Amino acid sequence: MTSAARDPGTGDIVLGLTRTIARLQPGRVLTIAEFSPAGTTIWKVRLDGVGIPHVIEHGHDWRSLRTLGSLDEGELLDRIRPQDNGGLILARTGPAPAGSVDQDALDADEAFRAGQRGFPGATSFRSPQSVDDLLDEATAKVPLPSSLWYELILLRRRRSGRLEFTAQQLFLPEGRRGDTRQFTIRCEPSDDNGTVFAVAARDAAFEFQLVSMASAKIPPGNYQLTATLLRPGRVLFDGLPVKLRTDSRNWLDVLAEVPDRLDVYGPAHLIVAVECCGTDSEVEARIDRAGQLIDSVRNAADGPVTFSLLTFAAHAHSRMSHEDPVTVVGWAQSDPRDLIRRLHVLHARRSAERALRNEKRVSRGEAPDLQYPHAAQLECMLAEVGRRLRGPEPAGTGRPALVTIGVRPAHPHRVDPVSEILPCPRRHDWRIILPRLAQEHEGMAFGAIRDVVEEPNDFQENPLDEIWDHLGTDMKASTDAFDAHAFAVGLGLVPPVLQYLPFPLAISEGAD
Amino acid sequence: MASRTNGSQPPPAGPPGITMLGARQTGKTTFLAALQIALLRKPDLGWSLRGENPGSTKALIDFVNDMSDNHVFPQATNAIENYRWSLEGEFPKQGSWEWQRWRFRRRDRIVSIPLDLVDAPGESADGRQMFGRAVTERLVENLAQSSGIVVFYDPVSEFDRGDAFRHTFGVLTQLRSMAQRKGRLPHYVAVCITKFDEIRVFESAYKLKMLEIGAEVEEFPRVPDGDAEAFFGRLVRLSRSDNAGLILPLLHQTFRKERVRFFVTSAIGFYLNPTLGVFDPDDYQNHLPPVDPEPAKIRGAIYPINVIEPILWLGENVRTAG
Repeated sequence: MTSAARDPGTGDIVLGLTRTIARLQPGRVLTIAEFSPAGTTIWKVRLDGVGIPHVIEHGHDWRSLRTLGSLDEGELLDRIRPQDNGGLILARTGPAPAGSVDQDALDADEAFRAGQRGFPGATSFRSPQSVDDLLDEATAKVPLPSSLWYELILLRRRRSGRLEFTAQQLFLPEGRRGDTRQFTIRCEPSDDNGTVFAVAARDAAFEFQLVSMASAKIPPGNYQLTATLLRPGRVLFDGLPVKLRTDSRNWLDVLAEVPDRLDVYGPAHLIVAVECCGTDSEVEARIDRAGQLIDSVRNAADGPVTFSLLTFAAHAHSRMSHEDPVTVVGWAQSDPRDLIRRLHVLHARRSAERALRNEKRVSRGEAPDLQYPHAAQLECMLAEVGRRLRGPEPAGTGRPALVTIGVRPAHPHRVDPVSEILPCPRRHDWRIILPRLAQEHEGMAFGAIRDVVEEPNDFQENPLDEIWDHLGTDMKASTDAFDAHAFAVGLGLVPPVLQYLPFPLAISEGAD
Repeated sequence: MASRTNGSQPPPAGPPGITMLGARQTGKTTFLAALQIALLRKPDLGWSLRGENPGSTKALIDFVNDMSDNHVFPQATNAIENYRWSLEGEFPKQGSWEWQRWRFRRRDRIVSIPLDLVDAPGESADGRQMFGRAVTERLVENLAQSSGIVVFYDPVSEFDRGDAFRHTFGVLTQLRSMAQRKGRLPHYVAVCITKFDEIRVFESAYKLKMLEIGAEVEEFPRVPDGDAEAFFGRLVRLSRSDNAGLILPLLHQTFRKERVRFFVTSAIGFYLNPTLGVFDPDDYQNHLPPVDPEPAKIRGAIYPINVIEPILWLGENVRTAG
């Protein structure tokens, strides 16, 4: 674009416009007078405080600029006169005249020439493209101001749980359209308004000014995002499962939703042990409770949680009886979705095998092999958990929480004159193993879910139930009335109430 | 379960037998049932058991099958049962040789001790309802005709029910009244303190320091016969009834003291883990309590303790007396 009358190419025009707009001082307005057969359009371009170009336009048809059938030149110059020293550009747009020319095209030419005469210092050009199209392209190419950084507003949780604002840098000063930046954030549960992606421009004095705000209801989790600068004031975020919508709420209202603190529960290692004694329906009910608890923790836990699942049954009471040993269905798995399915399969297989064994015994005239009815391998289950937590198997991440689901007492380590329950063949003594577990793993939580418990406080009434009192040190429930979320809260695995965060969370935690 | 084919038979008219006396569930029938197994466990003793009539033989077979194969206890006795068995032993005859197969061989002596064992239901000895009951009258008649009596004392049921004295006093008082001569009765009496394998009984003996290790390779503990009476004296103190302490004076009042002997017995014995092969003081429970609808069961193999000894002692004395 030059001040001469020659017609530059569209690329040059756009480049010139971009440079001119980028050099605009804050508060100054660039006026572009467009003359086309449709009339005269006055474009006012200005940059706001964060370097975003804003454009307003006023159109005039030729009839309103004619007086007694001819162009009123004084009126025209008054209308295109720049309001400050921001500059004036004259543009004759539309297709080049060829053959018979209509009056409007002649008026456009005459007005363009009048403008050049009236404002000889103004830049002028001819272009087949409309100024609207040219400005759209030029404003998008305007670089960010030389002293502003674009940043995404985030929250950061300090070790104390307190929340503070932080920012993820997106684009450097003089960043241009097409610039990208990759980063990872975490989305916490949000209210109905969703998680807000607010882009702010920050100056060297760390003064922030909101650039754009968009939001969407995003499932909790970590997301690796790519931010792309589309134009000053517009940033595209790729990597989210849903599309962001422009959020028109008041900024202060959004800020008011930020809680003071975020209590994070984790990392943790949830170990669920299910007793597989009794009828199929009893066992299935226990497995269901295990599934509910695991799902609840998986969905609501703040920190990373690993999951382990074990089964235990009863020791065989004689050499002729079959014994299902303590079985680890899965250990320290970060994704627990397959655990419960595998437990269902294991239980079904063992039930079928037991039925087959008994069928054979009955056909041989022998009594069916019934499981020992008075106790379960709680003590061996505890020994197995203790062994695995010590390694060499991975101990899982974080604080262990052992949840036992069943009903029977443990086998004693030796003959018990009171209960007459047969002793554990491996001589495991839960009275030694259980305290050792708690001692070796600081903060380890214990929860018990029993089949039938009339009053949670009645655990100690029967001496045989003493172990269940210890297994439910931190949380007790019955399989009949089980609130998985409340149980997980009681064990300190998930926060007591669902905490909403209006902004994404920075991944790395700051030190306190 | 053992079927009863010879129940309600009249008392034997032959040589005087041995009668069982005890409250219900004191282990009388189980004791009898374990006798054959006990003999099989100790072949060195040289004794074996044979049935003297078809019913007694069948009972012998059924008892062994029930206990060793099916791991169940014999059914409680509902009527007076009379098992005519005999203990047979083949022993070398001192100084007696005979020409046999081209050389002299020592002649064996076959010793046979008839065992006419009368097993009566525990209710028949109940002192509260004994008068006018035919079954009680038959029990007393049996006792009167017997030369040996096995008195069963179950410390476990005594602790729970405390009815041992009630089941002993009335019967023995009637027995004395039937005696033709005055003074103490001439019967030989083996007082069997049963269910030594039960945890509470064993633990009591352990705490009283009355245990010794048996000579078997399994190293089963036992209470020496010399301490059995003292053990009995300690156990009666644990009875639910205050009258249990009167049993011992009653026995000494009724029978000659030298003809009363005490044995600490167990029909099923202690559980023996086959992989260990020796008695394990931490895991010896062989009796599995009943769980509805399943009856009580025997956990493992049967190793009777002091089951042969009282019968042999009685049998020897009864034979001599006969």
